[in-house]
Amino acid sequence: MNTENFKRTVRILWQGLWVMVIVLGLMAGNASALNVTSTQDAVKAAFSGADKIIKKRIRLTTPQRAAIGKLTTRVIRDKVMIFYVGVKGGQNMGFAMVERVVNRSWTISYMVVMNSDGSVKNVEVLNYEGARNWGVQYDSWLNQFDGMKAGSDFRGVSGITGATISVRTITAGVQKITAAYQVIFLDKVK
Amino acid sequence: MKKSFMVAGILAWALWQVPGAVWAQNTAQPKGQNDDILIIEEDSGGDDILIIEEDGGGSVEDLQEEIDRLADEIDDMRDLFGTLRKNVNVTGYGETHFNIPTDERDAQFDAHRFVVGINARFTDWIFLNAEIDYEHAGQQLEFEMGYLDFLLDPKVNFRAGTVLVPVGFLNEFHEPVLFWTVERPVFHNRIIPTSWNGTGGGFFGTFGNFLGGMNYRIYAVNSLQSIRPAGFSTGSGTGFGGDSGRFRASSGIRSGRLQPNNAIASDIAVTGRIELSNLFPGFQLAASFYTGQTTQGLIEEGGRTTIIEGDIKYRRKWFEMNASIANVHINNATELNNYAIAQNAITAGTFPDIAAGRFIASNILGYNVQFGIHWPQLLGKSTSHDIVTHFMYEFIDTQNEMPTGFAPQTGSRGETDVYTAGVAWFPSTPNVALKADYTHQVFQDGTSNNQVNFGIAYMFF
Repeated sequence: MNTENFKRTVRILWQGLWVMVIVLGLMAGNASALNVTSTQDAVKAAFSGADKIIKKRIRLTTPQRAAIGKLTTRVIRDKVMIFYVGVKGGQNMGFAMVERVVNRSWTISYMVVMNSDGSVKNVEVLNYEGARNWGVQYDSWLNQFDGMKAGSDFRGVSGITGATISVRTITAGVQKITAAYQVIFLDKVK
Repeated sequence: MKKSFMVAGILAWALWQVPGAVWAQNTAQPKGQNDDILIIEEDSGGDDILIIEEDGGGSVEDLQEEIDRLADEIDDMRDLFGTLRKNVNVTGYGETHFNIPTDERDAQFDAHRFVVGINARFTDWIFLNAEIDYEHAGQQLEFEMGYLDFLLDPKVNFRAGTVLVPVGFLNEFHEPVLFWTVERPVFHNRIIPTSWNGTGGGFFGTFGNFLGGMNYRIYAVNSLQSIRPAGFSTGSGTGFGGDSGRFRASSGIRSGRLQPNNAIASDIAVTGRIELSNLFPGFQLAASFYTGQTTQGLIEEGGRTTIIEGDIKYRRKWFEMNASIANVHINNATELNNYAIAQNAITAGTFPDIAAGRFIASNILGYNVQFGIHWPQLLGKSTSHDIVTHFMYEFIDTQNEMPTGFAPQTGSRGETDVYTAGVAWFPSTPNVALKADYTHQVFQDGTSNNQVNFGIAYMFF
């Protein structure tokens, strides 16, 4: 390739990239599906159509913490866990939990919605700060959790370059929440 | 001129897209919100240990006032979702190596890197990311990065300062617990000169859920320096990379990087990267480019250097792999070499490599592929530990094509095949790694060398 051809190729590639950036940018929708500013709004959106939502504030006992720790292979330090239960026509719609954690330097908030059998219905990223954790709000990434439950192999959740810590934070969080549900509501550990 | 119009256009479009220009703070109403839903609170559980508390002194009013004051202070520290937060955080990473060549070379300990990072938040949409790198037991100091992020909209944001050049998957995210080998792969040293920074700025963003999630970065930064004159400085910078930039036969463009200490900026480069983070589950596809003139006005020819890079990463259960390829094209390599020869003639001994007949190539090519097995997962063990055995092949050719009249280097640093096998243990946290590996390098002239490496690596935040 001679120099002139090469320069022209690079110039075309360069201009093409800009066109692509603009076109794709206009096409793409917002990455975050849920636009809410409070935990209550997030939970209400999760149980849209519910007659009532019960907020269960559960103070964990030492045996419960130990059981959750065993399922997650991690030390559990939570003293209190808050679960929301959606009720419609006397029927249980499922459970939701909102976690707020410091991720690398800045916070990230997400909600895990579960079916009554303890399987994950969906995971939503509600709010995050800084720019290093986009990857975790992509539906393609979050959808991996759907159907997982305590005892699933969370090591199978894929990583994302540049969002490594956010990926680990949320994966560990979803694992903890499913384990807590199993221990508290299904195994009924006291 | 055209470019500046485009940049202005994009910026105007970004601002048009987001009145208020704040994306961390979203005030829109939720979809499907139902304000009539009643939330009933229930308390339960806890260990059956009774603790009786007794308070003495002060009036109830004093106590109430104190509680209100504390509640106000705590509220001020919370974000929208109630999380307590600070505005400045310290992060960092480090790695120490023990290298044992199996030939006559001496074994060495090297506190290779200790890096302190500072992340700061000024407002909900302006952030600082900075890192100071103390290399080789603090004997070599680098301003690895220090830039401001202006978060406008997920699709288009602005970044300015000293940034990491977005070429390859390791250069921007090079913490030593993110790769398995003790040393960084040779590809990420002699082909892509990790860690490589540039000073300037540009745009970055994400295209939401397009193709499973796509993000991009595009920057204009001070360019590499391919040649330098004997006897006087280009730019007033001193110390590592200050005025010493130039391309070489064995390390390619690596020595052309300039630390931003009054570094010459007569030439500006454009660089960018697009990542499809999750094209299908566990699979990432990405491409990067870099192009800029590199002679910094020292000769008439520009010495434009262009890198085209592609990489993939894949993990399925216990199996993980990655592969990268990069081609570096250097224009006017003949003129670059002639200039170096002329400068070396003015002050003999300035460039010993040039004197020894090792010249700048017109094309550099390299690729690598690495496979790893996560053993606890393969064996079905439920544990917080991870043990990875890995194997990597690398092809490195810093003399892939030579300009007419200049012969390629034939010694031990020409075309190289590198084989690395080893093990990395992440002991109950992914942020600490103990590593051991064996590297076998085969050079073009048939000679080879072998080295055993041990390392500790950590990342904190």
